Amino acid sequence: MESSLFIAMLVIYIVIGTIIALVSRRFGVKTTADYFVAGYRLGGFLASMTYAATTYSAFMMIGLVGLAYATGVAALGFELAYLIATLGLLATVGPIIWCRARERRWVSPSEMLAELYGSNVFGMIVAILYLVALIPYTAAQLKGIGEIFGSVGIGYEIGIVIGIALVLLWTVIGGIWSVATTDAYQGLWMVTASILTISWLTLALLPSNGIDVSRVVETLTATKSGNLLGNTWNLNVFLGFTTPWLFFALTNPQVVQRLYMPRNEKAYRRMVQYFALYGLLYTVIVVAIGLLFRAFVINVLGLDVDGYLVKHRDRVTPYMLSLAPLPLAMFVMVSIVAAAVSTANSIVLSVASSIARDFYEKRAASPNPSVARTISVLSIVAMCIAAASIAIARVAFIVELSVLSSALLLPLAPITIVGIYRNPGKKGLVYAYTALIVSCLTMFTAAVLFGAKKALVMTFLGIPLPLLTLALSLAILLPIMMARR
Amino acid sequence: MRKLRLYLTGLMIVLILHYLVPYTILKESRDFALFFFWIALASLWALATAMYIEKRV
Repeated sequence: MESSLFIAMLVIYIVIGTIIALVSRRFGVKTTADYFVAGYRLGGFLASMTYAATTYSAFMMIGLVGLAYATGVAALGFELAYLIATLGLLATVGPIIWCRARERRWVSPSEMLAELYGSNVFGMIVAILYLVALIPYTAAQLKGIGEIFGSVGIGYEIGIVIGIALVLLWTVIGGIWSVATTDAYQGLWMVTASILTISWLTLALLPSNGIDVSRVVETLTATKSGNLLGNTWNLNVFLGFTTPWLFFALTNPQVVQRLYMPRNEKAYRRMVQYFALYGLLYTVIVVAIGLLFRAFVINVLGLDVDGYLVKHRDRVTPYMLSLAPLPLAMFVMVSIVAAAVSTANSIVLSVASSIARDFYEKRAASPNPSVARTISVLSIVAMCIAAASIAIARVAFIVELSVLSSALLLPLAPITIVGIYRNPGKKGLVYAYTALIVSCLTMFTAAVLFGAKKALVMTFLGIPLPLLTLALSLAILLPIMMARR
Repeated sequence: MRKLRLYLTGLMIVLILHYLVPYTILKESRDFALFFFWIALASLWALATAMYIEKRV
């Protein structure tokens, strides 16, 4: 019954999404710029929704709910650090990038860096870095889908296959136009699902079990994990996890590329303003869901279940939904699939744009759009297969995989900021290479030797590794920062 | 330029508060004070950003 209703709802979601993707082709997909950056003519609402849906992924309703469940209110601080810093970047560096992208017809973020540092080879290396670093993040999305399919009895691996199929379908149909329009549709599904879930928890599940606000407070302040309403995160862990998040808007190509797309200044402003509202609302609701459900589990289901969910925090949401009314549960599960697909297809399309642009179009005498499209599609397929392999292996929690991806890309933040404000050209190239190699090698080596989670929280000279690599990158780039323009 | 400097100063202050208060005053909070502190701070910043870019972009 459960799997039948889930499949029915999933089919509805896929059919509507595919119709939207097909209709979006009427916006016109003739050139590479149309295919990857919507010809720089996205309206404010679409720009904000694609930014939000790309950013907020399976990480939220699976990863962050589980993290809030296990570690408490500190999960809110962790996620809001991202929003605060992102708004700062969107208001300052963002408009400059938007303006220059239109002037210089940038399509991929690696192309932007290639131009700022006067080297197409640098752009190609950044494109490869995107490919490697974002495979774990894409895997995290597929893992989220797999967990959902596993929880309804269809099968984890089948979920991953369906996830890949959807990513490929909606990406190939119309490029960024179908991705952006389906993002808007999926973004609405996601936030609606979260509102319905918190409503069910606060108006039905908790009250019907005699759990009021004071009981929630009493329970959460005395759990086996500690006082969840206080700050349970060690400062080094908080710094280690939030540092990559602070610069996400400049390091991850799928969101950098979205800065190119708004059609005018007003559309850019609306993108930022609507995204701020969406991000705040969605984050607060998701964390509240994790906290309230913990209070319920401890009071009603007991410490054995609680202990299991703390240990397997990516299963908190599927478990919670198994207790919800069936239509609600299925709606929310499909919303999680939507969140994962919307992020995964944005990532693979963006990385594909870097590969096609920097490895082919920038090097060919007369680039052929069909060849560029073929290269893009092949890149997308390769990324999906690699991500699926990691997802099937279940190497880490969704949160750790996601943060690790951003940690690997962290040196791109100072490289981008220095590039935009200083326009160093070839003179800055050796510094950019050094910063990139030192930081990436450090994080990558740590992740391989110690695993994703340990790499993010381990310290050297008392400093969490992500923060250290950021500081190293800044120090290496200091000569260009101090040099006259 | 002055407004940009003001905005960036505001960003630094918000981020410092975001990290500092939860490790000092509200570290051992036993109610929703820390939860609402973070929400209030982020909301104020979102509002400030919305107003800033309305005038600057």
